[in-house]
Amino acid sequence: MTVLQSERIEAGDDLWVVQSLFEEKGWSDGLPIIPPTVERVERMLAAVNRKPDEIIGVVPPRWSPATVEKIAINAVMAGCKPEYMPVLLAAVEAITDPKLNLYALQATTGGPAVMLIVNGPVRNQIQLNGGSNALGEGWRANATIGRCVRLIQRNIGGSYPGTTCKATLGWPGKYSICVGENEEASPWEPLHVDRGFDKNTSTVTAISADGSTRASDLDSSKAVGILTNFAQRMEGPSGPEAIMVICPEHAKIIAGDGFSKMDVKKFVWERAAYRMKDLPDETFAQRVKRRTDLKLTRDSVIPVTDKPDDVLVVVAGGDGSQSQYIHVWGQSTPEGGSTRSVTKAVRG
Amino acid sequence: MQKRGRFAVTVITHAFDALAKSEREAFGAPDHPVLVVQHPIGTVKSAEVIKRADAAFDKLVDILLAPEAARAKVA
Repeated sequence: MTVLQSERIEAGDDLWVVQSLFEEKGWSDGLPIIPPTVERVERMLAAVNRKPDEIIGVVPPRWSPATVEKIAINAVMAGCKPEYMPVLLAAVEAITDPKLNLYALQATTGGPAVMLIVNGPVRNQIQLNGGSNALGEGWRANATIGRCVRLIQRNIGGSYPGTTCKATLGWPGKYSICVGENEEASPWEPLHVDRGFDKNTSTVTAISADGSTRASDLDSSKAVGILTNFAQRMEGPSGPEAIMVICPEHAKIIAGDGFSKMDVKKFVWERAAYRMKDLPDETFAQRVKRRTDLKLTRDSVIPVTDKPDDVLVVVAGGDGSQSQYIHVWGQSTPEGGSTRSVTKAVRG
Repeated sequence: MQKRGRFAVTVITHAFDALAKSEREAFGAPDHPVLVVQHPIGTVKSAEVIKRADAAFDKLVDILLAPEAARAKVA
């Protein structure tokens, strides 16, 4: 039998009473939760071959250890199925990697979400959607894995809006944003292969994301048109990275015109630019001070990211000519940026 | 830094007061001095920022010159 360390609270059988208790304690994201009973948490733990007290990562700003048991509790609360646990453990490894700089994401007024991009066979094993409405509702794995990570940020990390989380507005992605790459419909290698993983390895990529813009294009039948339109949606600097979620119809046309993934990044990077000549004097002066390493003049153009390869290209979605640009929160810096995406392998 | 023997003061705007309190507790340094300045800074005109910085600097000197036990109170 599993020995659980967490505090036990008697709350009775009335679901409404349990909800009120979780709200009062600050343990909810505002949506109803599934009460994490001992039996449910044990079922979650049985899905992975890990000790409940194993620490997967330390979650800021409280800097509390995310043990397998605590992750399982939040997984129950979020409505996850036990088979999602390996993905959740990889997600927690990713969000607590210092490269992501979760502390800054949690504390900033910018209010980013941690977006999860899942690759590899696990997507189909747990029915994590990368097709129609991939960034929308309707799939339990997408909805609850993303939600669980947010609950972990709150309940383990101590990120509470208005006090320790200083998001000015936040955005709906903060409830949950988790997507599978539509690898089967992609003409290119998937994201995790770009990052050195085997195609048959499953991975979770965590990245700061603070808003989405639709890059719809029903008028272009050529790559140049689609990518020019996409670049226009990306004007103004993103953070250290930027995310292009390209729908399969667009991807097929772009690749059909001979564009590799790197060609896509370069094409967009050269066009998605912020022109210093368009800025008012005060804003221009601040930009110059912020990035002295770039030696900016009125003729300078700041690209969307520092390098073309900092633009992530992910294929997702169903039928239709509707791609999306997802802006990454954070500052580009001479040192590589205030946050970087992290990819971790899904293990048992 | 303080645990490594180097005295430190954290400067924040008041919007981040609760976060600073949480951090002090998380790192086991409840008496770590935090100097709070008015929020916001990013969208304020340079002359005003300089005025606030001058005022904050005086307070910073007070904290640094205070006996160790009294530093948190000064902040």
